[in-house]
Amino acid sequence: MWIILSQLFFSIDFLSASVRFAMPLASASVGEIISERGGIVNIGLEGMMLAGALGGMMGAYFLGDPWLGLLCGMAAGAIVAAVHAFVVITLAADQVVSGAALNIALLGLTNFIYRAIFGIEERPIVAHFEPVAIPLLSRIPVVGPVFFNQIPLVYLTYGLVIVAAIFIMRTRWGLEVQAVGEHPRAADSVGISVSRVRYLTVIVCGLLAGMAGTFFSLGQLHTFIEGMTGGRGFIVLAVVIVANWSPTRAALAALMFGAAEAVGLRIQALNVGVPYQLALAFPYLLTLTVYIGLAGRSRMPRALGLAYIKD
Amino acid sequence: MFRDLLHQAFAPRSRQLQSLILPLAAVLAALVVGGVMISLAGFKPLQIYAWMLDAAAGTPQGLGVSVTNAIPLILAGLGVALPFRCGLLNIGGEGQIYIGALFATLVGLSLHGLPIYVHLPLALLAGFIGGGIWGAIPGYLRASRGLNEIIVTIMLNYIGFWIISFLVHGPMKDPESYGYSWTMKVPVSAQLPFIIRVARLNLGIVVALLAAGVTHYLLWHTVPGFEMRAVGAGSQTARFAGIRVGRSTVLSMFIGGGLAGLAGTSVILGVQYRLSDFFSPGYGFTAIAVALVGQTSPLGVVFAGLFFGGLQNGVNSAQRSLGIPMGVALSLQGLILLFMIAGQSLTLIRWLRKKRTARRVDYSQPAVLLD
Repeated sequence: MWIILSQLFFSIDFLSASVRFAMPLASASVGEIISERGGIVNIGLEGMMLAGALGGMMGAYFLGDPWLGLLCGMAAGAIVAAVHAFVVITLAADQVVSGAALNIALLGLTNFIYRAIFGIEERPIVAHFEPVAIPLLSRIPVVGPVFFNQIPLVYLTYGLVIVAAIFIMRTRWGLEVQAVGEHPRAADSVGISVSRVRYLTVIVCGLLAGMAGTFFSLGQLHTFIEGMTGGRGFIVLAVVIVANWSPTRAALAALMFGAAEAVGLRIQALNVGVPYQLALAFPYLLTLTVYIGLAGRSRMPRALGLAYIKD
Repeated sequence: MFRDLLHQAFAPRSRQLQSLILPLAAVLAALVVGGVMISLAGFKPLQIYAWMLDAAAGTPQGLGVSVTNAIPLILAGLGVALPFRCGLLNIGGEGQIYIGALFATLVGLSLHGLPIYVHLPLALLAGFIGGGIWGAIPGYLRASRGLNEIIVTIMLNYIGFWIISFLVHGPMKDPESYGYSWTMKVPVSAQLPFIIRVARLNLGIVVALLAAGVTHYLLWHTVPGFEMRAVGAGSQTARFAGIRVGRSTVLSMFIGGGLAGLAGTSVILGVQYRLSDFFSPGYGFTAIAVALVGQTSPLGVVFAGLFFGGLQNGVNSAQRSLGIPMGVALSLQGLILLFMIAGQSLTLIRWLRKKRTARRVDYSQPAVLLD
């Protein structure tokens, strides 16, 4: 029994799948962390990821190249983020409701645009990313095939996590973002433009959420399906809290949720007598359990969710 | 009494006009943007809208479908509006709808030989309690451990859905329905009977209107309701005033969840008669739009629910008959919501009035924060 279990869950395939599922969560959570560090909650992550998935798929379809697809997906996420930024920063409207509205709108809109362009015929398979083994690194036992034989988007995300961690903690800009999220009035008084910083952080969040979306359309399924992000944008919101707004911890938390998803798929594929619904519910159950377990240990940016109105 | 109701529903008084104009303007703006979308897809928007209006309200049958659609939307909309008054955003309607429907189905299927006036109320009550439990969990976690209710309710949506999916594919599957995964039909004694046969309109609409009346009474004429609104206006202030914030939080989420549970129940007992894992096309999410367009007032929610019920009916008909792409209804819902909050925004109101007013405590729109 134990041998079977260990073969199930400690195989290279399983670990590699965990990394594959984790990285879209990681890239979106880095975006959300940057936005929330600046004081803006972005519940609309799910909608931005969907926009990214469709934008990526359409870019790759019409331009014939996954990298151009990635750019289109990121742009699509950024456009949605710009709407959120305008509504919550310029108009100072409720951030949570704006995000919820964008999720609903984008679920409909992506479906509408896809159907309007591609009709109801068979889904086109577009130019997509293939796994690339990194020379030398991919030859390391276990670590190599698990971490360094993935699609390029995964490598991009590794870099992103490191850059974001340095950016937030060690650069002047990162400190400005934190100041705006902790005490906007104080930041304003030393000459930092609160709304400019917040616009930038929200749009960066949109770019990264869009990139996260392209994992699904250009990395996993090679086409677009309605609602294909399947609620992962919401898991990211939990990841950010559990990770205490730190990009590196978010990457670790994302790995755990990626593993949960891989466990679910394994259980489903192996047909070991566990109902597949339990397997599919597992990532959400784990999210909830971890969230309950770590409650109260995290400290959020002080001005999170509050509009800043200059007097 | 009715005047009082109207008056209270559109309170606070100084905003009477705004509370009517704002939703209408938001709907109009969304229809304009939606029209641009539709014409970009190669259709004539005015023709589509005219078709939708005719399908939704042109015939008694069409009107019946619209009102029937509105029943779960009103109930789930109340389930968002009530906690919102207490400062909570209940995005968990979808899960509460499924769990409520499960409880109602269990009572519907397991009791036999009861007269309808006993069986039906029992099934409705079970649906309320089921949804209430699913809503009280995030309420309790927020009150006791400070967990953000938005994240908890969203996770519970997925968990609730997969529980139902497991049950209707496994233990509760009707053995005689080979192709479909759903339960057996609930007996007639647990079904919501038709009240207007021509329009196929069932008793659920009466349940929804009663629920709106009770919610109104609870919020404005009882102590717990007053406490909820006080908590929504500012939990610190309420705490200093001696109000038990945690109790109000759990209670408002229990009742909100219960109302959403009734929404699911109304669909099973009034329309589908069998529990399946595909019966809700996202009522719980539309409910957010319903609650906010209705300005989180019970009477407003009734009108907003009827509007969105008609919209869904019209869009469905236009999709079937004219072949417009799917997704229009959701896009319009999201756009209406965006225009609503944009229209309520302080900046815009200030800009419109061209004068600076101090920020005042606004009891009708509690701020929802992540904390």
